[in-house]
Amino acid sequence: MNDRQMRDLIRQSAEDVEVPERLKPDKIVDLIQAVEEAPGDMVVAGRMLTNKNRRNFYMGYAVTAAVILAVCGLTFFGGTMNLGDKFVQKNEEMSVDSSNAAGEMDDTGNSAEGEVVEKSKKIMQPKEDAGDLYRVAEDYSEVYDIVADSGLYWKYNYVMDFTMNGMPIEELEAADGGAFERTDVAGIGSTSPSAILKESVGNLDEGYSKTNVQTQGVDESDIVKTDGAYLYVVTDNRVHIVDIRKGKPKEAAVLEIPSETASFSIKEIYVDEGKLLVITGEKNTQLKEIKKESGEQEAATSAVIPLENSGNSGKKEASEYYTVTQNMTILYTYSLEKPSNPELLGQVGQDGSYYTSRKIEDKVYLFTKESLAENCYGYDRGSDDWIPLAGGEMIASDCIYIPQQGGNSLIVSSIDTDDPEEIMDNVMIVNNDVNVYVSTEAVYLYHVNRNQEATTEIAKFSLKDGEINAVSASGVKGRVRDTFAINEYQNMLRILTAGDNSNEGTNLYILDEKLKLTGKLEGIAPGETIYAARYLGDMAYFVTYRNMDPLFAADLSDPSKPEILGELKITGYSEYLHMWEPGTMFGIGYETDPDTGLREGIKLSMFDVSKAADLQTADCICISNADYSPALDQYKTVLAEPQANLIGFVVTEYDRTQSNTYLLFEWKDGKFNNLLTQDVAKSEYYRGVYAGQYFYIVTSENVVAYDRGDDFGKVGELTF
Amino acid sequence: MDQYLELVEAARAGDAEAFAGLYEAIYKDLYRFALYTLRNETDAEDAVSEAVTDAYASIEKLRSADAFKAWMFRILSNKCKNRLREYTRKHVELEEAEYVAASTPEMTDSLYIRKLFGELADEERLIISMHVFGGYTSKEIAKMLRMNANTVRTKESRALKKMAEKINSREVCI
Repeated sequence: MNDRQMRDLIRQSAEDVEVPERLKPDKIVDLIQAVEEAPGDMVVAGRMLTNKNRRNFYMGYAVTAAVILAVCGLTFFGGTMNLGDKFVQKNEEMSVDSSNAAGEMDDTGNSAEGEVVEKSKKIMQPKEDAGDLYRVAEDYSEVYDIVADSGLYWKYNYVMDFTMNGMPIEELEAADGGAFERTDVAGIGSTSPSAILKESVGNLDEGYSKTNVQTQGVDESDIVKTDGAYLYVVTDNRVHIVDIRKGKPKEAAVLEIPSETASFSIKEIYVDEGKLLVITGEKNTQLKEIKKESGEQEAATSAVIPLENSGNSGKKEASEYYTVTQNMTILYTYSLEKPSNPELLGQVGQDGSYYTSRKIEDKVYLFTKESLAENCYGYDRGSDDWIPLAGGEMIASDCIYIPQQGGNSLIVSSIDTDDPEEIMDNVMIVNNDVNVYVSTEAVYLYHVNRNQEATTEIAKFSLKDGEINAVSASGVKGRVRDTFAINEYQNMLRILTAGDNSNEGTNLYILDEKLKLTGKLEGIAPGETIYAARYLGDMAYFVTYRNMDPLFAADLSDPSKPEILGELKITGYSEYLHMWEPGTMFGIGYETDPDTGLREGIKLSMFDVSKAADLQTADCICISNADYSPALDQYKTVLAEPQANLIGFVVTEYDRTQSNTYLLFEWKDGKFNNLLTQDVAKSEYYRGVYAGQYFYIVTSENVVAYDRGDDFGKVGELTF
Repeated sequence: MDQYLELVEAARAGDAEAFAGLYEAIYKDLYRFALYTLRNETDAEDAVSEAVTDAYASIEKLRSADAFKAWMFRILSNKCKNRLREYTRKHVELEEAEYVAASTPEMTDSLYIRKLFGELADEERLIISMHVFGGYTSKEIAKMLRMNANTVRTKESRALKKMAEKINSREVCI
């Protein structure tokens, strides 16, 4: 008898098993309802109550609806129905889209017809493991074990020990911004100019600049954006909307998002397809009680070690509290139908401090980082109250990826800009710390494995129309030393790394769509360090340096056999490379003395890369009194627009004080021509932006306009 | 959307009847799974009812509509695992009378198989139940039990062979 026959016998032997009456389908409804009436046992009910004030921070409509759903659909709140009322009230106060049927709740918290309307969501596939690197968690306890074991446990939160004079914790919560809410944004100064002048564009391009991004087709948020007619400028917790249709900057509106927390700030924005997307971040610190009461709340595995031994159980004990800081990131979506008066379309957010975001077509991917070790402090293993929220709901355990070891996490959510109150999909990846590279198809998380000598571990998650799922994971030797050293092209991942010891040189790896190694070049330019990289199609260009700057060109068209075709040795080295017109590439970096290696200023070079075997420097200029440029490590500060023939960046000189100068160049007849040199002192950040005939230097304090058609003469200024 | 997905959507929205509809298709296997793993009718009944109430309370967490069965089994197998662990801790001698009557040559084949199955180790019963009633592959079982897939296959095969040997030695035509 083989195994299959044996299994069949077992199955047959169970055929006549009588299922107890209580478990029959027609009785199961009674069973469910019987349990609902005894709320004490309900995990879900407990969770919602304790997470109440956290959820309130995401008072987006969808969140409200979801909570009501739970309250009225499942009646296990019973006596605590006032909670439901509170949410319903909030729902009304939010004055959300009234066309949505779920808004039609009566005051008992029941929906009108007893039917619950929920938007039909895209059904997501179950999450796959990311190779051996991350696997999908079974349940929250498993996540807890990893996090609690991470060694990051005692770094946070000093424990306070004092008596709260018998003030119940509920009141503390209520006093602590429990009624937090957001109101609509007031557009001030909404004097929309009625007369639109369309003249004066002249013979210059009608185009406008876009944020300098890492990957074409993957938009990135920034502090300054333009749609050609308006500038959108982030200053602390406001977005200034500046009318530039007449060239001269004029304030059209100031968007202010009110907040009750002092830490609130606007991080970055997107402007695209008539929408303004605003990413905000804030912290909310709360006092939490360490539960001491006996009973099931306190499991044997409790994470909290009381500072003092408990006294007699009959006595009133000093309560212990500790602070929990919750970082929250929210995406607000506004309609720019009337830019002078943007209309809020929706908001949705997630826990964690803002890390980065990307926009691929109409889907936004929000990346936040959260210290789980800090979160789960004070909770015991059975609790899920520490699990971060996304879209107001706890991230489901089957969307949580766990590694062998890690106490922090990266939370990734996708949001459809046409449905700005919903999280489409999300995952939380537990780790220590990761970097992110996003292509049009996938997000790659990479980090250096600390247990081994300089190994970069990479996990790939596909981004398919908002759906996030793991594909595979892999590892390569060395570290990624430049943001642009990792790149995907036609489903192949190309990655340049360097070991900890510069003698090992630079390595180039090509991995296929499943992250299987197809080809490599190891030990390129031993003794030198990689400083910059750029890929164009099948070619990779990268800079290594000791005292001279070899620029390498490698042909990757055969993924199994990458090949160095040429190298160019010049003095100094580039730290930022940017493809200019076909066959040319510019670099921004340092000029150095070839003998001593000492820096001699900031260098702008144009390379002729039309023949890979014969790389040439077409022109280079050195700004000898400049010590640094943000362009070297913050690519968004670079303006590089071949269409408008503009290259702009800031150089910094450290003399007795720091002075910053914006430099603008054109590339003409094989030479760099300086178009504009402008001091931009006393500001944290700056962007050069062009729109049609005008060029703007935008800082957090002002906008200055220059006429491109009139030798860059200053035509106007607006101070915020 | 087909009827099944509609049921899932309705259940996710909190419709108890829709949930019962989904449950109907799998409840027999759920109970059999619990009974064969736990060897005790009362415990099996409790495990299933707990799994059902837990599942219903958190149905909004069900992300993929076609995963209802797998999801229910996952919850139930966790319940069963926990109970098995409790048994070990408490050193409870399980009363198997309910599961299978006394072993006599006259007992029906089904009861005999059940008896033999009940003689397997906890882990072996769990693995085979997951396979037979839950429809899990050895890879999936390995993941849930944190074991190597090959280990799962080996353990299962060894247990099944053990049973087969006893059946052969009984010399009863089955």
